[in-house]
Amino acid sequence: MDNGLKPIVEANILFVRHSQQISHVEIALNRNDVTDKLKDFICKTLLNNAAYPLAVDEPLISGGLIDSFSLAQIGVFAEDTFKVYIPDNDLTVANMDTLDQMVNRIMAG
Amino acid sequence: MFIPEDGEPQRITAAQFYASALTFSTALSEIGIGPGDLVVLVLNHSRALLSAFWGAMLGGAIPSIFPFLTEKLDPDLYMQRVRTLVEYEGAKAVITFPDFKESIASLLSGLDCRVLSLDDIPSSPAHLELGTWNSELSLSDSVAFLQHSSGTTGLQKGVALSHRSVLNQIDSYSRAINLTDTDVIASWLPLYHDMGLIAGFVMPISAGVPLVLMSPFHWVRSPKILLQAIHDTRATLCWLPNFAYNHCALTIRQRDLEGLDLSSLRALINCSEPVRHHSHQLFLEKFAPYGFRESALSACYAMAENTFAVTQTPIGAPPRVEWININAYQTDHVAKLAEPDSPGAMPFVSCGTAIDGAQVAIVDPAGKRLADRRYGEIIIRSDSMLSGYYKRPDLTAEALLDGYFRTGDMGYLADGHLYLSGRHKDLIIVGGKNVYPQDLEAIANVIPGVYAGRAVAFGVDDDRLGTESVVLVCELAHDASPDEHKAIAADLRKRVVQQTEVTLADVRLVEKRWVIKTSSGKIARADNRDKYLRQFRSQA
Repeated sequence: MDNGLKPIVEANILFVRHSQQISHVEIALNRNDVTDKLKDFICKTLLNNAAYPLAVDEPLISGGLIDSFSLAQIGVFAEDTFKVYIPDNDLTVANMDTLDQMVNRIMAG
Repeated sequence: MFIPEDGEPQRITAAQFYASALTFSTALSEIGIGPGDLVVLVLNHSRALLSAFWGAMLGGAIPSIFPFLTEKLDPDLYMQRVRTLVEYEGAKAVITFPDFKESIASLLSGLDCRVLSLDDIPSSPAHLELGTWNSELSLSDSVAFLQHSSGTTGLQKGVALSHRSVLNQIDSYSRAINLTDTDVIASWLPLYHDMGLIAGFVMPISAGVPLVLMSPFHWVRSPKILLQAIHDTRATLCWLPNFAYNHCALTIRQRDLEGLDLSSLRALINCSEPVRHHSHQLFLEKFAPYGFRESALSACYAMAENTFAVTQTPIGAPPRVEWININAYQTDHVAKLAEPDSPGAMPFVSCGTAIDGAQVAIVDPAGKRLADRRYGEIIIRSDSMLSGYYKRPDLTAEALLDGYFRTGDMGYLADGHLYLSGRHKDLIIVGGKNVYPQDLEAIANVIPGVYAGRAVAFGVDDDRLGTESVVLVCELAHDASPDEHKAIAADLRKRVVQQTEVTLADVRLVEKRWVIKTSSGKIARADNRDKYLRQFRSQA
């Protein structure tokens, strides 16, 4: 950042501020943070059980914890929270059955 | 138009569709399948399925679409269910994919049932004369096709519909929605469900209305495809179960809405599960900026036992909404009007008035007619009702009351408008799909660690998703550690989804004597649901 822009870091999202306007957005994703936030979303919003001890390799859809409709919600959550666009065609049970798989996909950007 | 999951939309003319249906008709005829023979279609959502269904009917046979095999279902169990249905209903033929032919043929060995694969269907029909269709069939009481709900219980109740009933329904319902050949219908609905089969296939084909079909699996993952298809084809009519309004509003992303024009839609008709005012508002709020008009909001009350629609709201205006005092409704069984922001006021959305040829009434548990605004069970009579549950005269007799069909749905009538509020029977409706709690309890009862006979399943409202969620509460056979708890719950969820495709919203493992039974020893599902809501709602 030697171009005179002043970086600010908020919740791992790096905003590059220029003349009081956000002119560019970059994202520095941290795997643990993505895992925590996604796990929180799945347990609280999709499972209605914030205390659920979700393991990272636990099969979510094939294990009957969440349904295929929830994958579309995870796609929206990933874009809103991490600014990562996952195309609908990637939102399949084969690609996104565990928390680990979902995090991998988000980290891949 | 058929939009495959991968690839470009395929345009199919009426002549091409008819020719393709005839190839199936010919193939069935060549193996001796004729009028009155039951043909089970074990296929996926495809052009072949459409042609096989129509082809079987052309020859007077009775097609029945078996629910699709999905990646969640246990394939062995799925095949076993095919055998059960074939055996139980005496099917004479199964049409399936080439990959399934061998295993289904081996599964059905010993039964008088032929198995045809798509490879066995000639690429062109032996004859293409329109006279092939036996026009007498259309006036007859012979069975046109069967509709089944999913699950073990649903498969035992094949709804048999005559050609006469189906055509009466198409005639009456077309008038109710002012259907003309300038309409275009868009549908992602599965064809083994009455809404998809009738509104999204049989009616438009019979009435000569252009139809745009897409895969339900594709839509679940990517709900934008429906709106894109409406935009591209200037579709005017579409049917959705209530949860789909929420699914579209919650998951279609802003980036996919740019440039979309939904102004061609003159009716987006909500049916198959109770209509929620909140879901309509969510949809309207999200899609009004893209041309969706409030006047296109619409609702109907429908069921397979009536071929499809019983009521329909007037087209061109949103459904009436009444705010009802829920306390008076529950305790006095009267729908008293209330101010929208008064305590205990809840919105009820009208499902419209009876379509031509149909009558609707509300009765008390003794079968006595109730006055306007009195809450009770909905009964219906029409000229498009089922002939009976296929080969189940006992179930048919149980469901009828002086010529009326007892729907098991609860609600009230006001000025001819029907308002639906729930179920009398314990059936759970999830995303428009019927789920029988006894199927889920039967699965739970054989899970190691669960006290057999002490499991209960029921539905609870989920406003966010606009549908019911399924809860299973099971007594433990013995004390269990937290790890054992998790393992038993995981086993339960997995087996339930593999056998029924139902994803449980909550599983509770409870101590002995938690589950309430009636004095005759039956599971009291409504009482158990109330107990669950009191005890676990704050944690759920």
